[in-house]
Amino acid sequence: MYSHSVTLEQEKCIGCTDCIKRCPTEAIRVRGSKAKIIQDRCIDCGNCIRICRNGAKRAVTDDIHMIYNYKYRIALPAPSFYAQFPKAKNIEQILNTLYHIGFTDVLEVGCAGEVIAKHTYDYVKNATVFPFISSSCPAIVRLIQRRFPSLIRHVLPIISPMELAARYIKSNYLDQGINEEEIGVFFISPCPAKATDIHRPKGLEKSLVDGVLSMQDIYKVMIHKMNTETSKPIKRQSSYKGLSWAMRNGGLDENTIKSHIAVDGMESVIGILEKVEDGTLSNIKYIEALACTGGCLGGALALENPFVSRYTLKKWIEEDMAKGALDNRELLESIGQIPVLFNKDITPRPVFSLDNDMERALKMMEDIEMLYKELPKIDCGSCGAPTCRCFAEDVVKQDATIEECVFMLRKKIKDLSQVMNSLTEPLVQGENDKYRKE
Amino acid sequence: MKLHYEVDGDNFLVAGEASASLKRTLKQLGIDSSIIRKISISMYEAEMNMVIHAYGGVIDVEISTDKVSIILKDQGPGIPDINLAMQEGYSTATHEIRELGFGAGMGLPNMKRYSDHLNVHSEVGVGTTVEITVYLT
Repeated sequence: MYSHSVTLEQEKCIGCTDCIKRCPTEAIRVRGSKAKIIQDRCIDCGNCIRICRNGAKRAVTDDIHMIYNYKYRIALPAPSFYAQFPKAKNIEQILNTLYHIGFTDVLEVGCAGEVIAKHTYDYVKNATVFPFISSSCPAIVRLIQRRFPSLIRHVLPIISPMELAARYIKSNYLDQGINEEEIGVFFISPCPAKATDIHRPKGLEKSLVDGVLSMQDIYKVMIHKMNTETSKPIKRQSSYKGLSWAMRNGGLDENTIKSHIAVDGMESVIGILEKVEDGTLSNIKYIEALACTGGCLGGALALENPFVSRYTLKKWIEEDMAKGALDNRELLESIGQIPVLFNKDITPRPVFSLDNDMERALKMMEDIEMLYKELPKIDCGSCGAPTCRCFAEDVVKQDATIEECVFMLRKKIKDLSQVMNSLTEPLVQGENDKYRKE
Repeated sequence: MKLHYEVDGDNFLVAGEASASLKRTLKQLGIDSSIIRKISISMYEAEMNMVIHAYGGVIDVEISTDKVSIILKDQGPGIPDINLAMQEGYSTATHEIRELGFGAGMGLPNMKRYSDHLNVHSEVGVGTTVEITVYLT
């Protein structure tokens, strides 16, 4: 089983420095003209997939044919998925097409989102440590484990809407006496982080999602079948409230949790987490933090521009509102019976720590500081590390050699040539004098 | 090991950079996250004070296996009554500074709360030296 969903296609990588610069955990180096992902550090955010102009970074998701390993094939489309089809007649048409491409059942993740929003509200209301940070974006949870371990206790210990949807639908089928091996639950994902999340879930022992399919892959199959006649009457499960989960505020409006911050985009999230760590946001109760700009709509596997998607989704939401409130109370109530709290601790992964022994770590840090002073500090990336600082760390950790820095190499060559020149001085003094006169 | 930072006065855009940089270093040294939190909060408060009141200054940090000592030196106006300044809510910040969300009068009290040892020497018209110590064990 793979441990990461972001991988490199060696032959497509030209060894440029685009991806190393944009990785929020400094997890990529260029070595021997090829990018190399440091597995421990990767949080599967997908930034490098977006940035690579050669398409050398890929997200590993499950093959759509995998659904045929199961008799009952359940699709879990998230609201962000609807936004990929701006020209669809309505959401019903999108859901209907899922049946045409081979699924036997569909559960809208949006309705699980509505339930999670309610649980979140209740949890935060009774909490004592503030602010709580949403755990629904797996890339952010991974980021916190690595870069902000002190904030682990701030992570909301509630499962994601995807997981809740899977738990609910599976228990539903099991209640009907259906064998577990026959039930396949598939999430249609906007990002690679969700794919990693089912194989290495956070806060729970095992995910009940059997496969994660890329939005792009599903889209390719679906566009050819969009206009096929309806074969099954579609009953909507998610109301407009659930759809707004995919908008940035995670379906929480000011009326539910007061004093909350909704932040998206990796750099902005890091800025906010730094502030939480510095204790300057203790007046905030809840933080909805999403790794991608535009939230899930901006996921690395989404096709449509996130700002167009936001418009499309807003349109669907308005249409749903105009149709009158969907009565999904009964469904929400039964989903509400499913337990949602984490049953496993989130562990810190201090991948930036130099050594377990502090004395050795201090010595290394001194060496790093000393070496850093020598470096040009222009962060050109030619050495294959994202910054001069990071390069100094690599050298001290013996993951790189000093000559990989072109400036240091140049200096060394210059010094050497002077040595060579001075070597010739006593031997051919007359000759040298002759040249000088000329 | 020793670290030295120069703090630019009156530039709110880069205020807090020294604290942020020290925080990164401490994380790499594998120091317990709850202790890093104490150090970050107290140093951030002290650094901000330097920017707000004293047109910047210099910060010297010394890290050993048992403690982190931070010395912040400025040549600002000085504190006339340190005991008064240590009281929660006491503030001399101007209206403009308060508008920016600073100057709530929690700077020194927070430094005291989050550090294990706090020393403030100040002379009016000469400057202020703040010494913060946080033990690691």
